[in-house]
Amino acid sequence: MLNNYDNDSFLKELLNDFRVESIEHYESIVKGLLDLEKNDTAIKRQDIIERVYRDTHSLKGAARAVNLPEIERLCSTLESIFGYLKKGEITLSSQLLDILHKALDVLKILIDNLSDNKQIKVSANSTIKNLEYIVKLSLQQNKSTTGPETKNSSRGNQQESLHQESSESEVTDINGGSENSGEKEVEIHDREIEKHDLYSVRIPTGHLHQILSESEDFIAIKTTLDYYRRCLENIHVKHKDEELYNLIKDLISFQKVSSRMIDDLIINIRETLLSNFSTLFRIVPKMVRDLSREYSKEISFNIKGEETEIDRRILEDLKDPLIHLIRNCIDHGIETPQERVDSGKELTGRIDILIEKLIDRKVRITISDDGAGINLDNVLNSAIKNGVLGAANADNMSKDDIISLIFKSGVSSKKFVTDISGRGLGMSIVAEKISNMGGSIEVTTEEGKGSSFTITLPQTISTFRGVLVESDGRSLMIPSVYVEKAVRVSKDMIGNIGDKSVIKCVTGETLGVVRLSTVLGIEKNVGVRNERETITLLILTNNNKRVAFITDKIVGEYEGIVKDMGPQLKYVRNIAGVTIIENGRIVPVVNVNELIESTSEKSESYERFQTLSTQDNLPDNQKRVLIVEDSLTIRSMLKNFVESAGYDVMTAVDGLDAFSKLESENFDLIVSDIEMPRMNGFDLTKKVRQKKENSDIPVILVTALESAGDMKRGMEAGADAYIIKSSFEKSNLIETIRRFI
Amino acid sequence: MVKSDREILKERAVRNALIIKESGGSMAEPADTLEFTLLKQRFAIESRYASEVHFIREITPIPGAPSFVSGVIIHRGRIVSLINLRTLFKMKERGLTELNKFIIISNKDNYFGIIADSITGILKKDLAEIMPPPDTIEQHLSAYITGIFPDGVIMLDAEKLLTSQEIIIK
Repeated sequence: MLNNYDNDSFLKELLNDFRVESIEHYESIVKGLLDLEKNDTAIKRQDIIERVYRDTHSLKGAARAVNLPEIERLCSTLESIFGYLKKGEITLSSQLLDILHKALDVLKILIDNLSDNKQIKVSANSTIKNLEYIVKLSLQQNKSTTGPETKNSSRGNQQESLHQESSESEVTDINGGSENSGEKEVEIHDREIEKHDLYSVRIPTGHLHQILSESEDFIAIKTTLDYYRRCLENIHVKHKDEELYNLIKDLISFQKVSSRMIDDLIINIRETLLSNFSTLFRIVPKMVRDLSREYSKEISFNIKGEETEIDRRILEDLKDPLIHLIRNCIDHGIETPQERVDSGKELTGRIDILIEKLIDRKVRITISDDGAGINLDNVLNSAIKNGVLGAANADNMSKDDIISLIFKSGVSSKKFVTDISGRGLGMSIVAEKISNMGGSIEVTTEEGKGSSFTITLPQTISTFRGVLVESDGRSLMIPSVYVEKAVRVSKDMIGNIGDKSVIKCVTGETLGVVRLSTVLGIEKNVGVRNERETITLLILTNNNKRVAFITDKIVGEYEGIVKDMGPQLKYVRNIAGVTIIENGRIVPVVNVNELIESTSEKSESYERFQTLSTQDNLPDNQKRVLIVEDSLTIRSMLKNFVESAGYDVMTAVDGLDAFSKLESENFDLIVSDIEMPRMNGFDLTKKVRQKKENSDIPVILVTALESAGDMKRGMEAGADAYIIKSSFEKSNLIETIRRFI
Repeated sequence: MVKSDREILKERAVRNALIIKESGGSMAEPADTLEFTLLKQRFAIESRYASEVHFIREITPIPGAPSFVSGVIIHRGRIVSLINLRTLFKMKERGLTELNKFIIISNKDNYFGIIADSITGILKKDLAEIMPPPDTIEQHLSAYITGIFPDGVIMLDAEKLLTSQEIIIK
């Protein structure tokens, strides 16, 4: 049994290896075929054919090793064709090229079927027959053309017989001598690996990613250190103490050193994970070729700077947007050969991709075509038709404004929708994906001359900086890149236009005003909402859209990594993921792109100013409760209980923390645990009572201690109520709080 | 030769496996199940799906997530979403307390935590005893269970929970 299982897993592993290897060979063969079409110098062609021949041969051997006869036979056929090509026995006609491309498509499906659950039924048999047929045809053709053309006919004949001989021996080599060639191949492989090992180590990338993601968790240590430093500094402001001062000084220098160490470590690991663009672009030339065939367009496709390195994760995310852009160039950009000739252009259109590394750890990708350019009128009409733009606004738009419209969903420059483009969805997704990666995209276009898309991306996934805000009792992180500014305005500055509340900026621009929690669907907690005379607004911007969001509080700026929310929560609208701050607290990260979209989708989320001001009439007596508890569990539980009862809650991790909070803020009531590090509940109560300005704050002690002595001690210290945790129920606490405030 | 070694091992393994089977008790399909309660109802889940049980710490609610998702927690450096089966099964709600625990269930593609009121323990149960659920059972519940044991314990279908299109939010 065990043995069987091991065999299975061994086979699985083997198949996995084969999959990785076969894709590499497949891509290399495809690239070779495309290169063959481009390069016309004989020496280069010979090199390429040789390379492809070796690829087909290796792949054949590998397929045999893992017992995949269908792939093996297909490769064997391909190998023999490249064998003929190598010897010049057949020529690479466009017909042969087409069939070879089709055969490679079949090969790809066969390889994909190894991993995919949804199996695409495909049989290599007909493909192999086709290949064999065309080879036979080509061989005959070659004979009949080389025969009469050669001046010396006897030499021609000789050649002919030689061909036949060699082709026969080729066949026997494939069929009969298969075991020999297999063994030889293994030898070559071993030697290659050995040579490789002298210079590098092969590590599965998954493993490296694991290491990277673990090292990125160290960023939380940075923010935690910062948090403790700030706590200590606050204490120091109030209680000048030399020992404390020295401790803080040490902590600051330690913080500096460790931050640098952590940054260096992360940068180094990220750099080991850089990979170059060629892996991505190996598939593209074939796609261009296939699509240009499909659309009867002549296109020459050129890439420069493939060797530029970039974070593998960015590269993976870049795949779809890039493919979309290139498809756009083929479908929208490049004209048909006839149109090109008519407008005095060269018959063959050009698509150029240039990848450059910029100085500041950024990479720029320029995709340009020499096609028709973007028709601005079509864009405008499409935008008006789809309600993206009011007709009245269209008149005074600049050229750049119009071009930027193509990134809005629902706008297409194409009059007709085809299966690959024109639905006006693609470009908005492209722009969104790129901005999610921390990049930007720009377009320039000139009618009749072509268009050019410039994408600028960070070379590695950057740690993200975010602004921590509170909205209706929830903490949320807003990526700083989208934050234009945070302002506090008087309530009077918010006005109404129609059913929207708006605010006039200093610049004269009018912005819509919405409550962040409303757009996110966070339940309104009327009791909790604290309307003050001044309102904190966060102005967020994306794709030239700007909205002012009402938040309750801006806590500060943090650094972190956006983590996803696990496989069960793959996508939540308006939420990009979560990040970890301070002492392990998780905070949702807002997807500003979607947030702004959601805002404009539901106009009811634009809160009317009236509703804002009626809040004023609601009890303005929202009470603040300070909860002091060292256990994270109980602290958050208490916080939820008390908040849901309609109180504004602040928490402290122990007596000392509570005491420093009491210095800077006002509270109406304190709920405190007794047993806590640094300063216990009794001492806290005593301290509170000693202080003149808070001496009358009600203090409720909540504890696991049950003895009467403790209760007495609590009362002596000046506590107003004493709740025992073991008998503790939600209502009990809330009732007690209600008795006092 | 490696091959013959392997064959020998294989034979031996098969032999050993057979012996165990013969000496196996009367239980037709005994399986380890993890039993827990929600309100007063006892539930069981196959232990091989349940990797860990822990007390609930601070849960971060995710705005916009379905109501049966209580939020996310960080557990061993990994973000884990917690599902409240009471909401999913449309049972009576009760606020969470520090006594609540979560069970991490997982298969090869998916993992999440389910919230339990208390954990009874790991019990060996005969899966052949499972009876089909009565027709009166709530539809939201019946979609995710294999049946009911004679003692009234409801057997959850972990694989269904883990692969459900209702639960996996894309």
